[in-house]
Amino acid sequence: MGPPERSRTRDFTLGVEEEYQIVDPHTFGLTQRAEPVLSSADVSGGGAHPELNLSQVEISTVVCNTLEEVRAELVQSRKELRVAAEAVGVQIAAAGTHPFSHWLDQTVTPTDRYLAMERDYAQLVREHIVFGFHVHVGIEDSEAALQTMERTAVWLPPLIALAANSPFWLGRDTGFASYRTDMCDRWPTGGLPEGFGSRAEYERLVGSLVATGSIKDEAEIYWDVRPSARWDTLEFRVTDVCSSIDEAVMVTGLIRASAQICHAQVLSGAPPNLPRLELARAAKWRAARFGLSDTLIDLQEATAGPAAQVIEDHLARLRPYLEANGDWDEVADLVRATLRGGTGADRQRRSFRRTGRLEGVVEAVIRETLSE
Amino acid sequence: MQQTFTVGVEEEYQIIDPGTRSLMQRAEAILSRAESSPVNVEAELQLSQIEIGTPVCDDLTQVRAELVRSRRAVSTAAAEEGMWIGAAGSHPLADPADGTITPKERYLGMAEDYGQLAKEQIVFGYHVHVGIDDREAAVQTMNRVRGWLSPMLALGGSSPFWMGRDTGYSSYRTDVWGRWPMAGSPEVFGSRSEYEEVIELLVTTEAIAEETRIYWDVRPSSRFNTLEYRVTDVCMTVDEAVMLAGLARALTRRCYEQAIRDEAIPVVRPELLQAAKWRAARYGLDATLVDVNERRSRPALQVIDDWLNFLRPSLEDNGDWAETSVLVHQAIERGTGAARQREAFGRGRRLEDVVDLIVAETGAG
Repeated sequence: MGPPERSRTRDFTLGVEEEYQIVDPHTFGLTQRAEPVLSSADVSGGGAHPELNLSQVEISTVVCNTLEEVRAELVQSRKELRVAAEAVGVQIAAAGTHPFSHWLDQTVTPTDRYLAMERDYAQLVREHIVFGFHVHVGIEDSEAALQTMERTAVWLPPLIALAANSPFWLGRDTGFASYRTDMCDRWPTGGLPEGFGSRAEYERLVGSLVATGSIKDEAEIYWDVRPSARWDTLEFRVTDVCSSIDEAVMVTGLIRASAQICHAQVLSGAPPNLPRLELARAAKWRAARFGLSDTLIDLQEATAGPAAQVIEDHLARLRPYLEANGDWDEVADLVRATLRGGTGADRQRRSFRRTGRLEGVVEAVIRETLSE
Repeated sequence: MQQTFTVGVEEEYQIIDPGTRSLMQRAEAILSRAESSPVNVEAELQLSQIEIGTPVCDDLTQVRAELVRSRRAVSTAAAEEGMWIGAAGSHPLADPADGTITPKERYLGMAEDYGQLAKEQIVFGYHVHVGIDDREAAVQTMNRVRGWLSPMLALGGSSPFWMGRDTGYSSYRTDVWGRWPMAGSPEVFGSRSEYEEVIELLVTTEAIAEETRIYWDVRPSSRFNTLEYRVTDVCMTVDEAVMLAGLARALTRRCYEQAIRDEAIPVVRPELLQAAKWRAARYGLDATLVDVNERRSRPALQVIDDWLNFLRPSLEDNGDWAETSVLVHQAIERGTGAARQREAFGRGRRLEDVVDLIVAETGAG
């Protein structure tokens, strides 16, 4: 690849959404208090919003141009949401799953949209108590956005591994670093995006899915990367919500650079180097299963190697874009800190070993969520 | 070469405690009892599961006889140990926290590799092998059958309950299975050698330990010259199992002939294929099914009827038309296994009654 090309001003802006757990500070279990939290919340930026379950709440940032702005937004939103939560006697926690609260005890948010989802998806919705992190990357040209999407698959597994933050489920260690990834892949419109010859082909598919009653509208497409139905953005939905703001910033920086490199390949007309889908799925699954603690599959080379090596190679490929964005020092430092210190999943397991209690895990996650 | 489209099937059964109606982790007891019988019985991933396999059969009459014989032998062996056998895609009371992995190297390795997935894998499938001697033709046939699996899934749904609750699904097993990294619809392969290259790639990247860990809805068997269908739940009745064997056999023949004539592979968006499969698993025959070729939804019974018409020449060539078509109509009339389980639950609101129904139908021969 040559040096990054100058993009149009609106391209590669950032908007981030985080989904949080609402936790009872005494039992450390999930509590169905989204409504009081939201009514007492005065969250600036993009505000706070309900999510699928009453034990969840989502914040979004305004459109940002730099990682510094993203960081400031996340610090502010988490702080403001904490104030609202404490005002009604609860806490917020950022992790991909809750370690022990059972899906049986959760309540779907009673809006028309979510109740319809519960009716249509049934058990899938009931079990879907997971918390994600979504990064919107601005790409104005909708045709280029789709071609960019198709090329992102090879860049996703390292993101999943670095952000892995959901090892526990229903009171047990799942063996996974990101069990949420597994839960999300069950959705009929979840998983890796496929390629499209053109925007028109994408629109035909959406038309077919709607016409066959498979989805109500475009918003029910939940691919790991999707063209936003509302904005001129490509939305990355592949990672767990990170406990620390540092990790959230790291993932955001990596996602933007990945989108840029794929976009540049599209503009240059380079033929896409698309992996076999079976291997892409395996690479994603391996990242979710083992995080950074084993080997990862490098989809660019179609090889397997120690996680740290695969991540370093990944970082090196993104480096020109990270440098052009002014993000290299920060993102490279954060990635290496994660390689040294482990993922959120590793820290959750350490908390469990240290305290011997899953409540202790939640307590540590709350602490990380609220520290800047 | 004259293809005969032989059939061999495998069924996975539940081992049930007659007192509590719950699953029991007692496969070894049944295995050692069944050793002396002439039926092929094997361990499965969990100790609450046991699998039978029929010999290679030339026709549906033989498939039926083998299934009756196998179910009887396993039920007898279980009864001698004070247990019951049940055939259904899920057990209504199963709890993943209670499962025990079969302590054999192969299964312990899977538990080690797959973590929570292996623990939750308390589901019971039905595999139909259809003989195709030519290994290239098997892959080219697979390319063409993948768009036709959702009617089969809709007819065979028998796993509505999970962890003590109605999931809303006809085949919730499909959802549990769908989470495995090598499960789901196969992709299209240009040739057998491309298929083999992909397998090789998956093995060298340690994505899979060996070829047998490919669990697609349909796959070329790694052991036999067959195309293996793995998409459906195990059926409660022998009639249903024979019906699905007849349909899989006809679908194979139809698509094999298309492949031999080098007819174009239908282009179907994978997202639509996935949606069609999900719909069949969710609603069975109770709502619409997605017709992927027509890109629209139609009432399930119409889709099934059209599918049967599409398969009719092959069913006739196989000598299976009379039996299979009668069985399909019977299945529509009686409702799927999932529908019958819900009826049983509806009568007394007791999941134990559902287990009793499963056990009764399994043994009815």
